[in-house]
Amino acid sequence: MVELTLPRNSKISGQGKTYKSEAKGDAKLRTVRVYRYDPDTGENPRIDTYEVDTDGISMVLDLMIKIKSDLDPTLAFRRSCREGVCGSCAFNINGKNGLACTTGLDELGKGDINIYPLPHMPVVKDLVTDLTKFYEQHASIQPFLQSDEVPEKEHLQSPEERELLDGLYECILCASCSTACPSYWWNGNKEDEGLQDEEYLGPAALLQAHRWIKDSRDDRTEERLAQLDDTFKLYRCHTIMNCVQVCPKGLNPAAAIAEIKRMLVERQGQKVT
Amino acid sequence: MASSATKHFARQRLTALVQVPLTIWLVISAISLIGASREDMLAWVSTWWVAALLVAWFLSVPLHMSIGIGDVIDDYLHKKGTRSLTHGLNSIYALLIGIVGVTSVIAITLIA
Repeated sequence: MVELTLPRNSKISGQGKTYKSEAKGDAKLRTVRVYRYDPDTGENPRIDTYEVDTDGISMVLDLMIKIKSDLDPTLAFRRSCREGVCGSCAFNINGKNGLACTTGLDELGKGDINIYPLPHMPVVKDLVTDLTKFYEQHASIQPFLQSDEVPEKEHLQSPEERELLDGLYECILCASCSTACPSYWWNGNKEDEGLQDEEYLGPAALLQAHRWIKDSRDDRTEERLAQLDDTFKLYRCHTIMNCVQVCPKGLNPAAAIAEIKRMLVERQGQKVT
Repeated sequence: MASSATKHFARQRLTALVQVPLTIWLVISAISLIGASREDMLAWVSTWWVAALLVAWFLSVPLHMSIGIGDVIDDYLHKKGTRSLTHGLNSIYALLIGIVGVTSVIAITLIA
């Protein structure tokens, strides 16, 4: 049976710490509530509260860096490029997955800011999640060019053929989409049950699968489609569309998945006729 | 070898498509039959084209239902044994509904 509730040791319990700002006067204070989990203590996760002066800060990532620098150096989170390219700083911010570096404080309204790790992923520490399975699923779709031809210089592609890859190649693998998908929560990782052959690949891997299926230079379209023709790998997508709503790059994995399904139906029809 | 996954998906979409006009027709017919006598109802059901459409409806609805519930089973039941058993029960349930529906229409057609 699918796990509908959190395991006992994953429930948020216990009193979190509160860090007050030392800023005085007309400081632009905001309260930030952050999920904390330290595997070394053996304690359940908690929520720490930080009062931060947001003067001069526009993005959530800047706010988090300020917390780490000025209030609590023990806070762990991933970040790198700070401009929406690397995909490292994906968190659940005020209930919606997204990149901290491209989410403005003005987008979050005036209340408290809640920052949690990406949903339904094993937590390594605080906001750092274990994305091993996510990367394995990406690798399983063989995200690289496989061509029978060996060109003298390079594989040529017309501008029209290249255009077909727009909206697909831009994915930065931040995992916002897959971890926002309820189907991925229930069926994305069945390693504990020994059912790895019955896992849903998730919107990110399927978007990339579609990117290589559509690539005019690739000669493995049939093999790629055959691999995806599976009750669990592909057809656990029920067009819930959370992936589209959260993608920080504005991509549409649901449309890519629908297109793969359409191609599979056509392929099935061709086999019958 | 072609997997059954795509067949399953195509069948689900096809039965959904078939049901749109059939269900609209059935709802409109049911509304227009409000207040009709038992004899009027029997006469309506036993009209050949009404009986044919009702049979089509009673075939497509249980099939669509069993595919839909099958998806829910695949989503939430992970243990293979439990899943297979539930799939079996789901198919029997849909089959029973289909048989009861179709035989009822045929019986009414023959009686009236």
